[in-house]
Amino acid sequence: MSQDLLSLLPLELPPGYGFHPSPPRIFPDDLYDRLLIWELPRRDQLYVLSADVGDGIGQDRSVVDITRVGTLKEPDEQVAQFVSAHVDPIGLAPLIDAIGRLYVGSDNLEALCAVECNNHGLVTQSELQLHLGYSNFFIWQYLDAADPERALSSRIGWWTTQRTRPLILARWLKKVRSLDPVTNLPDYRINSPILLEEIRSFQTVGGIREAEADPTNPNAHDDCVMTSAIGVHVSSTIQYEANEPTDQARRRMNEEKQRRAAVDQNKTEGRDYINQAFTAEEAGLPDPMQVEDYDDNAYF
Amino acid sequence: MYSLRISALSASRLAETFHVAHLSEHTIAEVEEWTERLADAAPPPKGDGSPTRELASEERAFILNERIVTKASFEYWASRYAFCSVEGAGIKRMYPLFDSQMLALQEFARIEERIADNQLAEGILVNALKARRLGMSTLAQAAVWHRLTTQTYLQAVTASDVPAQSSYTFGIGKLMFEKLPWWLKPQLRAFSNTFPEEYELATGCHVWCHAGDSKRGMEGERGQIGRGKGPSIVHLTELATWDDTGQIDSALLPTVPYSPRALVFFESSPRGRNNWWHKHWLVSMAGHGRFTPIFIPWYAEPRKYRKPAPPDWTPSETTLAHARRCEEQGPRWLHRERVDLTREQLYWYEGTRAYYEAKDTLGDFLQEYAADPEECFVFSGRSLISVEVQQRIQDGMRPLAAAFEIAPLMDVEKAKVLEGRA
Repeated sequence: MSQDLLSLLPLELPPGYGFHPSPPRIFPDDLYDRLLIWELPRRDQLYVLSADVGDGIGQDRSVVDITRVGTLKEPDEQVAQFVSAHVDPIGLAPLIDAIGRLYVGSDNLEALCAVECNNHGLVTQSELQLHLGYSNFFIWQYLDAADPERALSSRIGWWTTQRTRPLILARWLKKVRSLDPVTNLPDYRINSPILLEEIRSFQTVGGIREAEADPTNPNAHDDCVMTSAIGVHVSSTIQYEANEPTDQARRRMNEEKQRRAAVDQNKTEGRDYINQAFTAEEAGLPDPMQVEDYDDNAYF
Repeated sequence: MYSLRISALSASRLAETFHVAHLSEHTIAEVEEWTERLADAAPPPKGDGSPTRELASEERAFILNERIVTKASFEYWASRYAFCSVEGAGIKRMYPLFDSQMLALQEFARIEERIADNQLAEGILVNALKARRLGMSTLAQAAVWHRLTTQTYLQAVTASDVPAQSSYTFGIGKLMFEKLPWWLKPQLRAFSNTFPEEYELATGCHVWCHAGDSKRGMEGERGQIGRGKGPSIVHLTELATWDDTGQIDSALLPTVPYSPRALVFFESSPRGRNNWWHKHWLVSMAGHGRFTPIFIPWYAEPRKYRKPAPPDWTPSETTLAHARRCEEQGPRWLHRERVDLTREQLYWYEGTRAYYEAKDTLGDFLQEYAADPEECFVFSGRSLISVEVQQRIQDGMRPLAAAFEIAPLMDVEKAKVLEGRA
């Protein structure tokens, strides 16, 4: 997309954050160090910003993902991504700040930010909170709390541990693999070619617990996968606040729609109660039992 | 010899050198007639190459004409004189070429023109990533033997992954050599017809056959293909399944001269990710090194992969997604403005894919019958996400809507400066 076209996008860029249109010219090299957007911010949606923080010395990568939280109409979707191997943990904070303020949600808050706080992430998060005034952070929850009302902790951020890693990967895998039979859409839609590249070499010798980037390939990474998994987990956490998980509700609604469409089709195909398992009333015909001169009725 | 412009230029220079006033391009029928007429003059196998009878002046003129025109034009040589197997059932002239072979030949021509225009001084070095059975080995062997039989003092190496495959590939070229008429076929000085095959021609040309898993040689030097030889012509095939690829980088490529006369043709179908062939392809795609990448997809040859579709057949969503990807990516590789898959091609794709899917080998199908090079290398060991789901993700991706560089600190500094001024 040319610079001119980008300037015509219906996009309110927060001023002062240094957004410069810069479409990639060489795939896939130019996909790095840029905010890639597959869907522009929509004011009636909620967004989760998940981040995995690298050390910025060209080894592991820093990744920022924006996940649009699924609704009854649409599944969770990765709508934007920023990947860099050269941004240090402190330098990443203003970038997250800019991206989070671009994807303001329907609650009028910045995107719900879940920074992985292991290793360098805590620096980034504290920079965001204390220096840049970011306000909307994911609050760590005790998933094994006996009383769900007391699940919220007093800490912010995401911690990937031996206990939480299989949890978020299991949830992520289920959503990536699931397919709504009616709409043909997955429960989590992926748009980034960098993430897909990682998925291809994200392997396991046993179960989910052992899943990792191909150890025989020095160029294989799992940063995008883990960031995406945090995004999906946080999005699900928001959805679980409702009585029924949104993806299941959406599927039920779609199945209901399909059932209604099938009934409508039956009606238009002129079927009647004799050859179908429904009543004359449902078939839109007069009930022969209610006809007064039933002696003359051909059916009897 | 591949570009029309260069061929014409080369022919006119040769005509001037050999004092030929007018060069003719003969039809296949005329060539057949002359071949029959000159058959009785064929020199004995162990002689000095002189014909067994005195040639008439028009016969001598025809032979000189053919030697000049075939030397100048690969297409002329291949269409009139090169024979190849027809899918393992008989032999025929190589022409007309498959569309897939034309694609590779056009790339040769483009590179040759850059060499002629002094934009390149390294010769023709190409990587061909291809679907199966598209005639690449035949084309490469034709290019190798065209040079060996029309030029002097060349050294060539041909190799595949295992000895049996190497001998098969070498056999393609050997057939072309054997079927040449005597006036275009240099005398054989020495040869070995068992692996590793080796031919030495009276013109000083030498061709060796090797294999990627070769264990020949002295301890510590085994499998060092090309070392000490300096071949200017190389044809390596099935590179994705070579056991020892280290010898290509360490022993072979350093010996290939930086010369406009070099011809190096690497070809292979994809077979997994992160192997030597994948990395070599990515390097050439990134513009590093000496090789030009050529992608020859299955849909490049519409006569090969197709199946008549029943009138009531409609393509599935998966097939349509593949077709869209071919339409998007195909023009870049086929050098056409538009690429549209026919209904018959789509029907073949859907049926064959279903067959592989039923045998639980969809990964093999996807990498060999891919829409673009990226898709060729999708399959990798035990990914947590199956190949089917990977494919579905790829098909369902949205196009990029926008991209931004972000420099927030820089703008804050600017803002401070502006505030200071205010």
